Amino acid sequence: MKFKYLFFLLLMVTGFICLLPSCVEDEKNEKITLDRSPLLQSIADNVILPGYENLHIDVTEMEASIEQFLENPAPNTLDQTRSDFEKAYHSWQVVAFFEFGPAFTETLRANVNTFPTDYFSIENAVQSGEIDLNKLSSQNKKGFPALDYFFYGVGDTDETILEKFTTDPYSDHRKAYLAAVSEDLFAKVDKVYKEWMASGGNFRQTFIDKDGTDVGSSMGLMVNALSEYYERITRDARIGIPLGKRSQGVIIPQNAEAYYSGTSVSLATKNLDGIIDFFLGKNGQQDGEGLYDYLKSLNHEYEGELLADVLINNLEEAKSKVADIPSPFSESVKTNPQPAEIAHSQLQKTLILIKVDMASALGILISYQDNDGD
Amino acid sequence: MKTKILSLLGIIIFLNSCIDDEQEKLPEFTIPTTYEFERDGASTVNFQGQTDRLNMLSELKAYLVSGDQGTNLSSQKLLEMYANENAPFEDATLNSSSKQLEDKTNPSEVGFVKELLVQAAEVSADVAENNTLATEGVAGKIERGTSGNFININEKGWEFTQFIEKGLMGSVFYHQIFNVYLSDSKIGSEVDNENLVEGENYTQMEHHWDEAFGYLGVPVDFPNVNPVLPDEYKRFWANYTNGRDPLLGTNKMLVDAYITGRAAITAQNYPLKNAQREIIIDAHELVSAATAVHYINSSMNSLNAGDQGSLFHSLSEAYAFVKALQFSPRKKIDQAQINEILQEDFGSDGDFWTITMEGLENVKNKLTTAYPVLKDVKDEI
Repeated sequence: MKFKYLFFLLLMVTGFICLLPSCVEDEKNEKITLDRSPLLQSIADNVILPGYENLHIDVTEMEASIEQFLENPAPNTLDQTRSDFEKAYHSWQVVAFFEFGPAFTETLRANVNTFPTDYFSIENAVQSGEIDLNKLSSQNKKGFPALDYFFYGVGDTDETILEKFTTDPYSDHRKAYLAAVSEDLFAKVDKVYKEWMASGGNFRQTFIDKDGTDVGSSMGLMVNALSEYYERITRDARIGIPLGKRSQGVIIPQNAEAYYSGTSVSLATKNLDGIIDFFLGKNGQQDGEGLYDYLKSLNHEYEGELLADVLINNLEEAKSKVADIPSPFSESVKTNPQPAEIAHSQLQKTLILIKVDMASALGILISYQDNDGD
Repeated sequence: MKTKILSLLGIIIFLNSCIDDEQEKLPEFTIPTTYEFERDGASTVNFQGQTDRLNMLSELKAYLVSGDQGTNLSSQKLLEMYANENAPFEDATLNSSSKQLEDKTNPSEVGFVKELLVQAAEVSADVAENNTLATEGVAGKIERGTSGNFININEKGWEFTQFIEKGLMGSVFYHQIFNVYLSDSKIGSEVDNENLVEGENYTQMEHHWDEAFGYLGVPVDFPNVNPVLPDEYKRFWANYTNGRDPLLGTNKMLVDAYITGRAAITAQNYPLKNAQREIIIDAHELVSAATAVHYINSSMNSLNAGDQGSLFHSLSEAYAFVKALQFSPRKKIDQAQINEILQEDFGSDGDFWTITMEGLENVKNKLTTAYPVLKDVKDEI
């Protein structure tokens, strides 16, 4: 009798407790056993911050050499400027896909690397002398692509390029425009870098603290940003669009990144290098825990192999196929498009691994969408 | 989320039973599960006039879209479609219908709509003839991303198709629900609910309620069928109510209130009817505010991606969904804030070319503050 009564009471109490919302939440929390903060800290300290630091150094150096070029436009200063420009543009490639947090708020990529650049409007502005780079409509008239145009595209030879900055009737306006682009580029990079730094906006801490997997978490933002960037820029803008993938097979060579300097392939390869390093949690010599290690610890398999390994192998394959595209891409896309086709299909294959397999293994909802709908 | 919806349902049930208790003297009645009501074996529901207007807007939108695809639009035809003059529609039943969109538009908006229609035609002509690309301060066409799909926009970046279609969803459909059919003059105590309208099977009050429901544009068995919303119903408020449903439970919230209110009218249980009216207005407002936040999120993404065509498209949507809130008779966000959103946060004087991430954050904050239920879902909606 007594036993029965106790049992009944127990049943009641359990039943009642389970009706409370907190019970449901507790069950949910049990699933999340892994602490992702160390992973996020490693990514911040070994990949993101060093990446921005390098870019910041290179952009600072580029700004200095542009200043010298503007004081004295000559073959030697042009060479120095070009070489610093190439270096900074390559450093950009390894941080370009961190489109969350400060880079998102400052719309960093759109501000520094919208291509193709609108050289027609740039020339109009040079003639009128009216320069305003801080507008939405200016995004395709500044940044690295505009510099690419200034250093390689304003004339057919080095002599005619230098003339544009010396004897040309609009040379003063052109110099002012170039100075403004350089300043703007530095300001945007500087802002984002400082927002990440502990001594600045300390987004580093925010990034480490948001250690869930929901839409607003660091993992959620990072994986979405990577996938979206890889899809729209690495695959489409860099390779697919010049190749005619979005124009019914009609090629668009002038839409290649760095069209004037012809360094598209080198930049695209560097970008994939950066993505691989990001997976591995490293930047140059610095090496820590990355998504690769985390994914490995989750033990997810893909056709009998570890998904982490399949992913990294496919990314390496994509990088080597991209590197195989003959330079300049704007020429080879006309004369020998096959290597680019091969690279494009490998990029496509890897995108599925990132967007579908990896995202679901990590429990991340891909929330960005194609904009083609209503 | 599930817990929240459950508790919300709990509250509704609780409220209902509470009211039922107070109204003990009133006869009991059953609330059906679908929006179907009969008297003497025949249906008492009719909202054909509303369906006609939804169909008119569908045709108007399709015509505007053809302008986005390069057709030179006739401003006369656009204005005639708006006013249903000179048989402008493909669907002959619409041409013979006595209904039109213009005379049901909130009076403050009629001039604005007509200006947009005329400008849409002008810009489409320029695009068709000169292939004019839009730039800051210049109307023309702009590509959405690299989709190959173009939209025509005015000099402020406003997409004509969205401003007109989504705009009329607010200034006609919501306006008619809020300020006409659910107002006291249509369903209040002065309205006849004793006698049948001559030649019809419904009372005036019943019919007015049905007309409000008609503007929602859902099937009578919504949302208890598969698919929840068949393709032919995927438009206007039905589509957006359904779109917000996974996170906010808006389908049942609205339909239950419409069905309960209609049953209450027939049973002459007016306190219950009035309570449903409040639920309906709140839920419609929530759908619009939530959809605005949804498009703000898309806008932020496109702004970050440097995709101006998609940015202006989603901003145009967001703008219209914020604006629709102003037609609510007791909106939770005040008019001064709506004006601030439309005239400052969406760019100075609403010029989308001057939009900033900060401005978009401001809109999001204002909306989630006024509609706190959106706070938890503001990033994923």
